[in-house]
Amino acid sequence: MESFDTIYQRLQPELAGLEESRIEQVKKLKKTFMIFLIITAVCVPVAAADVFYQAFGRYHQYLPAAIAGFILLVTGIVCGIRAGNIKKKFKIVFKTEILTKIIHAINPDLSYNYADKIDMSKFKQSDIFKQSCDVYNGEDYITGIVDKTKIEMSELHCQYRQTYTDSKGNTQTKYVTFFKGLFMIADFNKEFKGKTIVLPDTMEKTFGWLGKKFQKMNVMRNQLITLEDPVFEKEFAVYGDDQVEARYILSTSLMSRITELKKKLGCKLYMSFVGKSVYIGIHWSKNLFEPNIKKSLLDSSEIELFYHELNLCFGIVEDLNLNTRIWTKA
Amino acid sequence: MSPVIIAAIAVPVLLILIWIGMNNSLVNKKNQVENAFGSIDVQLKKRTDLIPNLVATVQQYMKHEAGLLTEITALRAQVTDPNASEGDRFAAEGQLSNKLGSLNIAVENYPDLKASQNFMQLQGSMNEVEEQISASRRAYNAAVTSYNNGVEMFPSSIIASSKGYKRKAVFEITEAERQNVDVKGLFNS
Repeated sequence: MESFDTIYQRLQPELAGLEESRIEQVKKLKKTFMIFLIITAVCVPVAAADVFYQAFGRYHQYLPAAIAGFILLVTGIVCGIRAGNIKKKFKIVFKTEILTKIIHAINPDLSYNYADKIDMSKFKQSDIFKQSCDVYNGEDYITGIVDKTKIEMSELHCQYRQTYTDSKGNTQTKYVTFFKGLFMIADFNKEFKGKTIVLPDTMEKTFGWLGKKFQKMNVMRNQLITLEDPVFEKEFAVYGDDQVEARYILSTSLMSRITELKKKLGCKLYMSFVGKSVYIGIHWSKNLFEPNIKKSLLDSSEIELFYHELNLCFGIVEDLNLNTRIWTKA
Repeated sequence: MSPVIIAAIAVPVLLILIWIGMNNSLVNKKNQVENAFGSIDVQLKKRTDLIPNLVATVQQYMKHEAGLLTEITALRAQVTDPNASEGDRFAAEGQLSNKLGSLNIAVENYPDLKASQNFMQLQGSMNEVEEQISASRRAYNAAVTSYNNGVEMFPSSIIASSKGYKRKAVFEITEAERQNVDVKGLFNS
């Protein structure tokens, strides 16, 4: 794998070209903002003057204020949409031109599509989340092979719909996020038949051994599996349909690797072992791989951030030792 | 009905329900232990079944390991002997683990064998079965711990002693297995 500096040097022509375009876009953004400011500077005094004269009872017409307010609103909306579009276009160009090349340089066996995301059916197959995916969005889809392991990953934002009747008797709808972050599916290096789910352990952390009793009573899940690694047990609650198979998958070495990974990422980690793959959900509140239009593309530290974010994700395969293939699965 | 009468009926009923719950939970735990013990057996048998193929495959290559291979074949016979006592059988299984470990190390001396497709597949199966044995032993230990908790913790300890349930021992490897493999001895043969 090439070092960041080599990759950065090679990208100079594209970065320079895109930087010119970026400066132009920023100018457009500034112009849009200026227009909005000017309109505000005109409309607000007019509206204020009108209301002021009303207070003196001179005449009872709100028409000037209404017109000024309306113009301000429309300008605000139009400028907002335009600014949004400028930023979005820049993001798309950056991702298709620069990010694709960085990914390809890190690992030529990987392909990237900024608009695509993991299939909802595969997400549901993981059986990690029991909530229904009423709203399912995602981006930054990467797929390919890391050494011997097939992987696919994308950012996902999943929400479920919550309807409730408020005090006035009206039905209100709210959308609650139950997962936002990176979701990854990788080929697991051992064969297994059932399902084993590894969830963040909130019960035991809060309630101690009593928390375990609550976990055992979780009717939505299969049997609780208590494992020997105390650090792992504190962080995660494991459910599975076979006590022996769960331990076959979660060997002592894998348990310590998972604990290390969680420490490295510093986020909530969800995992499940279903079918032939391991499903990994990393709850990241920030949006990954997003370029900032205000920052210069010629600043290598900005580009290096993307390089590190990508390596962190691909590195999960090695962190979990998925490339060790000493059992019957190739 | 006065609250006193309600309490007089409800409390005993509640106590009986709790007693039934604890009793059944204890029985469940005891059966889990036996189940887990059985699954160790299943995996050990799988390993025993792989041995003839293993010995046949490596025999052609490992000219200097004839002694080790004979020992492994003999131990396999001991393990499959229907007349052997349980104690003897488990001692033999333990020694078998030891000898198979030695064999794995000795394979390093034979690059042709290591590269052979047959052997690599066989080694994959052996690794898998060893991990399954380890997993089933861990599952057994977890079942025993849960059972011991039920037997010793109050209040289920009362029910346990009334039924004559006693603490069980977790699975520990024997002294023979704990001895480190003599690597020098291997390379000298």
